Amino acid sequence: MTQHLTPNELQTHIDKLPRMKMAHLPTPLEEMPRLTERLGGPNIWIKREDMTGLAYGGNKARHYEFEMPHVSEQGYDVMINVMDYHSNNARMTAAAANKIGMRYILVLKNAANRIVQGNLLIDKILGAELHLLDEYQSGDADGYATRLKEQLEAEGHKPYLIQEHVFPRIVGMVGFVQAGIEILEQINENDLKNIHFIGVAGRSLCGLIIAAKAMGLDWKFTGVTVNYDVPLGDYIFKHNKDIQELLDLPVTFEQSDMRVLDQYVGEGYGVMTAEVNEAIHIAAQTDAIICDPNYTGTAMAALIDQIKEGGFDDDETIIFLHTGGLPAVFTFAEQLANFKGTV
Amino acid sequence: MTVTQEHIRSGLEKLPRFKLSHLNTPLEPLDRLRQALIDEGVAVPNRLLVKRDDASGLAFGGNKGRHFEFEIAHILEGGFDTVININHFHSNQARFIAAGCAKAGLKYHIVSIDLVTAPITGNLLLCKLMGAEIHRTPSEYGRQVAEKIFTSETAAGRKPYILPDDPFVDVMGTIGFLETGLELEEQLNELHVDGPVRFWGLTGRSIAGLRLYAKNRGLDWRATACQYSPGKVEDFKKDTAERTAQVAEMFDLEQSLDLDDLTVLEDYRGPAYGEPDDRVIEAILMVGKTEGLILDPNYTGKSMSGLIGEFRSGRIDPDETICFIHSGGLPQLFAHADKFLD
Repeated sequence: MTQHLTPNELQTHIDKLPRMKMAHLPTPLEEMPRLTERLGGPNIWIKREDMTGLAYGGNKARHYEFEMPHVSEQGYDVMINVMDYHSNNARMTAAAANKIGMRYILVLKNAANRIVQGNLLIDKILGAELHLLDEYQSGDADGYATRLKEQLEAEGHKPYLIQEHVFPRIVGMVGFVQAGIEILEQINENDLKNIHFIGVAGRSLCGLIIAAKAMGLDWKFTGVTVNYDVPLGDYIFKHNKDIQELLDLPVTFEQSDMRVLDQYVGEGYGVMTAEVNEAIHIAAQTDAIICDPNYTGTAMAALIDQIKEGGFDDDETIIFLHTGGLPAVFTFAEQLANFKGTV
Repeated sequence: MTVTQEHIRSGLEKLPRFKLSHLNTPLEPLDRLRQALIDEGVAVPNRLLVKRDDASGLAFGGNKGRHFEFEIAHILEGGFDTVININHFHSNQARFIAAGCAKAGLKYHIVSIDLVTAPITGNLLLCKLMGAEIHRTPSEYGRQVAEKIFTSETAAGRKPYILPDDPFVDVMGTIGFLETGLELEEQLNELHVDGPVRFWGLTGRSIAGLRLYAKNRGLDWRATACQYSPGKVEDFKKDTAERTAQVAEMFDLEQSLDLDDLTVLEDYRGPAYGEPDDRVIEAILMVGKTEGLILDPNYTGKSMSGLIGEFRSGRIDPDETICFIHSGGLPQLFAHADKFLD
């Protein structure tokens, strides 16, 4: 039988990694009393990762506390990131890079001729060097980034192309192993029982799963997919051993540790469904919580539907993981403003 | 005679309150902005700090998340069930009231004045998401529209409250920042800041609250308020003196503010309310690049352009610690996207 770690012991595994302050931590864990009342099911709490304070906030501020020292201590002087034009990751990397004075080049797929709004606007304000690819170029975005990297190397730079490294793929989980320790303390302070997390199926939830398993906690996890194009197995689950090794832990996560809901994607990533539009209005009108159309809005739609459908037990305490993504609200301003339903 | 922190704290605790914000907000260094100014050859003080009231957590955050804790409680105590507000379509205040009403379960009408054809984004979009009924009208009809709503809500058996008609609104912003004073005094002590501190913000109730706190605590806190819209400096000073006198009476403080307790800068207000000039855009880009910190074009961008401008002009005493008040306003940046195209 696996020996469980105390929170302090788990912390020592994280503390081996270099770290730099980027986020306002701990983020609050607060109740959503009016949403709970409206849905008439289990008590709903929310973990406010939208309040990390780094350029509109979001869960990724935690990651960069580890990623930025990791990159800079190896002598890299410019980071290159390949992302979609919507990307929250792209924005938060820009902010984190600025905090340490790291040059940052952003290769954005499907971004040419887009209206400059939401995350793309913030990328610009943060002074990221932008390469906005059209649809044709986007097919070979990685090749484009590699050529950029080679060109910078020829100029005598030491570029870090994020997509070529494993660390950026697992660092998000490290940030959430840390968050797991934080949340445990908050759960204990509030005397919450039968914990069930729901959020976007991704690295953050996987980090929490590791924290729970390492500390021997019976937390449950529901992950909501927002994308057809990114298979979770390849994207996340195959890195379970990498994170275990990095943190030298007795346990890691398995795909079976998370209930995955994939029926809320709609037409695909970046297309807001009517249910998501409604869910955004419901969360805003009950507890003044703002969700975004790409990620947290989809997770909120799933939460609301699952409570109606009996997908959670009434004696559970639901913790909704608000991972941020707020700038995207304004990319969808017209569609949100035209929502005609009453909630 | 100075008062104790306990005196001010107990005054605050006597007021009814409805929790909306996550406090305390952080106080952080702006070391990289400071370094960028040094690199320009500008003389800067040893410490440049930012009070992150943009991180108060209520619907994109901002300083007013503090004030409206008192305002919403005041409305609930009055037994009202419907709030009618009149404010500009850019207004952060309108958004905070929307959030407070959502959390308290109050019905909310916002009479959104000025440019009725401006796209619904920024604060107005958030009002909409949070369930506000939006009534758009040119400024000159705002009052009439509000009264019409008042009449029909009353006829429907509801108890409506016209927010701008209540004088409490004018003192509450100052009260919220008495509490910020308590927070800041502790945070500055933790950072071992000694010597004079200058708070840098906008012509409003918040900075007046801080200055009032300091004056009654006997602290060497100075304050510069940048204008963000046209308006006579003398009117602002007169209003501030009146409001702080009311707050001083409520809190049993000996001192209220005199006309010269705040330094007011007119030079950075730009062409109009809601319209940033080039210096504001430059300030937003400079702070974004050096600190990864976002400012808005209507308010904090203007006060930051003032701070950078005064640094460059050599008009800031290098013995002062500068504490920039980031009062939030972040949603409205998205309504100004066109200012940031190349």
